[in-house]
Amino acid sequence: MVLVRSDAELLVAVRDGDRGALRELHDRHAPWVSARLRRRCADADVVADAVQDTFVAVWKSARRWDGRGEPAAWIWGIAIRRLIAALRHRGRWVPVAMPAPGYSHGRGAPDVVVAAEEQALLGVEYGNLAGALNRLSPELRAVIQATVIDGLTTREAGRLLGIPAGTVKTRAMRARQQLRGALA
Amino acid sequence: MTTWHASPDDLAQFADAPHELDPDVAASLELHLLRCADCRAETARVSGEEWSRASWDGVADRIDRPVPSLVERLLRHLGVAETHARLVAATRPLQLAWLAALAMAIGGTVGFARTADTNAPFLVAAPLVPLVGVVLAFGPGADPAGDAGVAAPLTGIGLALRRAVAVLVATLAALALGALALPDLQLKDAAWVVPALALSLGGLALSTWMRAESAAALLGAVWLSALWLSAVPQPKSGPVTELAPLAAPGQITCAGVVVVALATLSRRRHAFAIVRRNS
Repeated sequence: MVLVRSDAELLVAVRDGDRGALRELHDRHAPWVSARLRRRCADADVVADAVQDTFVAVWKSARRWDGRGEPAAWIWGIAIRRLIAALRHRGRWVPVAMPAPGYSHGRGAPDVVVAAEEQALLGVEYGNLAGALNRLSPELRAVIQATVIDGLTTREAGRLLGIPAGTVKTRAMRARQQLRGALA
Repeated sequence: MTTWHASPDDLAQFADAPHELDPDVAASLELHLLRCADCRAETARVSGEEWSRASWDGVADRIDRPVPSLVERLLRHLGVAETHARLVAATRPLQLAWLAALAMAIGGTVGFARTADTNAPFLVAAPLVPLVGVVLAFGPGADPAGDAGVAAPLTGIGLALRRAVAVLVATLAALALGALALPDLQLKDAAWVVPALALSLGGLALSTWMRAESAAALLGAVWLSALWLSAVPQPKSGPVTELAPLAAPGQITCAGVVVVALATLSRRRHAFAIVRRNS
């Protein structure tokens, strides 16, 4: 088998200014990142911009990757925030009608991500949990997706969904209560 | 670690029309894709090389775009269009090196004024600074904007005046900052402002007839000789602001020059296209 550089090795090379490595990372990750963003924003142009922004950001800030953890998750963390920034820049909201649950390993959501639910989410690929999430109302599910699953802060989630941060908090609370009930 | 893999059909639909995928399936896919390089590769394969190349071209284009200079960003912040901002910012007197030299020259003069306790050198030299700046903007040598300057839709007076205004604003602002640091500041220490405008606009107007650097040399000589000639009859050294060019007669003359220069510029604006080609 041909020797293939791992994502982590590619990121290290990008940090040293290797364009070829960036291209390889882009070709590996842009397709799924793009598909996942399209589930969160219906405007294909905004998503295409956000994907390109993401890899420009990877190029500029590869040195901020701490070398631990999954590069895919790190790239996703950048991508979802670039999408939020792009939406804010355009000043219009194209929220997806019914965002479906997805799971991720997002980082840096200190004031929302708590405890048991997340542990449960991370431990399950196929299971009861998807059913429990599906039984939530679309608004509650969107909030859970943005905060717990995509790992956004309350404010970022508010920007993504086009609702005030306070509303995000109250909906997240209600969603958690319902999930707890369903998983108990 | 992962033994389970997504079905190729699901991945194809995820790449093609992610909205239509069942929520449960999409959820599992998204989690799985974070951990499984094989399924990521499959997603990339089904979304196609063409898509990847187009997306990459966008990324490469943005990476290659030069980082806008401080001046350019400032201009754009003030509402100047991107292309104009780049051309104006590529004026030689607005390059970092020139701005640094300007700051050092003004700083030196002000420093001298503070130690020797006389504002004379500053008042004599200050009106020449914008003149030199404007000449450097059009003088000999390559345009820092390169071919972009030649091919710009703004030829002649458009580009020339935008650059001249930018240089004037920058030099006048730097001088004003320097003047604030002068010792024993009084209203008459602002005597350099009108002569500065007269010399720079006069130089710009003259450059429609002659090479910009000749115009600058001529006007600089006129300014310094006028000061010298007015000082000759007074052997005792008085304040420099009492010399005719900096006192009332000079201010009035300079104001007149400003008016004439502006009128000339508006009448002879077409000459700028020729001046640019000659220089």
